[in-house]
Amino acid sequence: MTAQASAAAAARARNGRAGFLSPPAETIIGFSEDSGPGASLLRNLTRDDCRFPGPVHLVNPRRAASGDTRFLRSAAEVAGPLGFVHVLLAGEAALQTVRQLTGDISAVAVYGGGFGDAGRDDLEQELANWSAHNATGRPVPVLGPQSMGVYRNTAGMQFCGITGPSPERAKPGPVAFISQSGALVGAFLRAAWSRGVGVGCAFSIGNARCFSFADAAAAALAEDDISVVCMYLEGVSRLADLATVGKVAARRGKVVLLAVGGESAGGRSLAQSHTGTLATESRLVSGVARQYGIIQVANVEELLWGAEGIGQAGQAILAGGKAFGVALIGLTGGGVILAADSLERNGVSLPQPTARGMRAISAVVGNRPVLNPVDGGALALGLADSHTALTRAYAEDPRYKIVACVAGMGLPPPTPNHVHLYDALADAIARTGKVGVLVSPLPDLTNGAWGMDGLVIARGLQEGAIKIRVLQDVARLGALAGRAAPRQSADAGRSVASPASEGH
Amino acid sequence: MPLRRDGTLTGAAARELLRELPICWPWLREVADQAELRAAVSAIPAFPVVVKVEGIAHRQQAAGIWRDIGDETTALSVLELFGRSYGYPLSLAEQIPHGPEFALGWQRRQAGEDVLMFGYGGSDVGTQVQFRLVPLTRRHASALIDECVQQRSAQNQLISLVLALQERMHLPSSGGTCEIDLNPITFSEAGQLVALDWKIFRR
Repeated sequence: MTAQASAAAAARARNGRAGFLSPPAETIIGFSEDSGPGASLLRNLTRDDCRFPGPVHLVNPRRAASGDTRFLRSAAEVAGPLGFVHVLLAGEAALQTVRQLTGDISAVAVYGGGFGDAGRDDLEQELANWSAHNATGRPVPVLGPQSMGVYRNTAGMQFCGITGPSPERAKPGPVAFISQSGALVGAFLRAAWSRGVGVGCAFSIGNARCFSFADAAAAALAEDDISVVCMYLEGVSRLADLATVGKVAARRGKVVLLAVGGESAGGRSLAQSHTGTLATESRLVSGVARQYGIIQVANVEELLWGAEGIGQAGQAILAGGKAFGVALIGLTGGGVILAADSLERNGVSLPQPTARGMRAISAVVGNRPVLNPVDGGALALGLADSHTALTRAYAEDPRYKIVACVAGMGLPPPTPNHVHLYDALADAIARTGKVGVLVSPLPDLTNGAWGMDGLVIARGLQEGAIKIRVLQDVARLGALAGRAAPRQSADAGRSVASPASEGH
Repeated sequence: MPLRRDGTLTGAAARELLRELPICWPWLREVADQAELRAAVSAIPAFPVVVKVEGIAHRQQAAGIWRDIGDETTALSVLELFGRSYGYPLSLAEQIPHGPEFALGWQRRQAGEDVLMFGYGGSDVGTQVQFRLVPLTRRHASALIDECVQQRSAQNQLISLVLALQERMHLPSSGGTCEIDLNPITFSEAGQLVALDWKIFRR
């Protein structure tokens, strides 16, 4: 047994049901070299930079050997464990295939539709029955129907068992992504990797009849290297499942971000036909998410921004006691006005400084009726030292946990003076243990490649507002409940907040 | 007052089922028909009072409530007018001078899950309410209340009411009840938590 295989076996033993994240083999049923999903899946499983460490079995009764590719006529011909079984079939054909499975099966993903999404709840129920009672003698997780598989990338196990995205830039990390929409798994991974955000695991749960978002979240939260779980759902049928996810996350000191689609009449109707999901009224979902410390955002893009922001904030989001206020400093008058508007639209208020902070800030900018937000652009242009003092005054005010700076003068490459300004923010943050956010008013100013250690970077005002809101929620939840000891993320070397809820 | 065909229970009958909740109930007299009008008016302990039409939805918008009634003659006139316009039953209730109005509700969903609702109440209920899954811990209740009410004594009364309501709904006698609305509830000038209107929906 190789060291990697040994690590995978240890992970299976440790994680129980979540052992399907470390399967001993992969079996693709209904594989065809010339059909999209199978070919893409095999390509992803066998890429050099994210190669599945065990055997990959290809099953297709109608295909003979082709080049180096050997096909088995049925799953029964597989010597050894089937491991994670991908069933690239739909409706009754998929159900018949699953019913015949036996042996060492870690999990099954059914890719095709034709179940609840097509009004065939009976087929979906039979799949659920097989998941609970089958010839293996133990429950087997069944993802889907309409799943597109599972991705796992950690030190002990790499496999991109999903169709779609090329994992050529695959990056492991502390983020998990769970989605009812399979295509969004690929989109999320590609977007995350292109931004340098590491993703440790991703689940495409499709109709989620046998393996719910709560099952996927439990599996992800059980993994030591995962600290942020992002979920895109098309509905929540049982509020108690959401409560369970929140409780487990809080117990393990991890953060859960949630986006629920189908809020509009059109979206709701489409969600029902897409995955057969009957959604609970959105304000009930929002209330329970809030009750159990799950941070809700609007869409998948905001999930990614939130996860990235938490990773960039790192340890600082944990430290610093009970403060969770946001201070907004601008280096551009227009930028700071628009940033303040954007924050308000997203529910982030900007409290005025404490009396002590007010004295320190007024000493730099003079007496002004409003000291948060403040435009320090004029100071920055002429008096860099004054800007440094201003930034430090906000960071040192105990009311503020987050100090955001709107930087509108072109990055990169910043002029030497601008480098000084950003250094001032980074320095103030490092001194005080607060969270610093550098917001560019337009995405194209950042040119995609810049970053500064210790600062949260936001490419655009909306991204800035969402990152700040998510970070404030993490800080607020921790401040309300009393912060648990930070949990170190193995891959990222960072820790995130314990998302204590309104209280358990 | 008997259970209506739509499963709604209001007035004294509903209050009887909710009497153990830690909230004050205003003086209330139901008027089942025209023959009870004079007896009801003569029983009023203090003015001002409110006359309400029972059993209609959105009473405020339907002009089914008359406030600031300061004497017996006016009370009798309003009762007769409402009786002719809407029919019976009607109710006479003590008018409580009060501040902001809130709404507290409990609902059993078809999935078998219970949820509580709290927020600003009165005629625009629904726009500023939050939902929580039952059971709520004291901290859940506190965080929910804290969004609308900052005064400590008021918070504590509301938290006790929330916890008592969810506890009450676990009793066997609550079988068949699928929704309770306490809307509006408010604080009297003396700072006591008071229910101004309430409904129970039963299957």
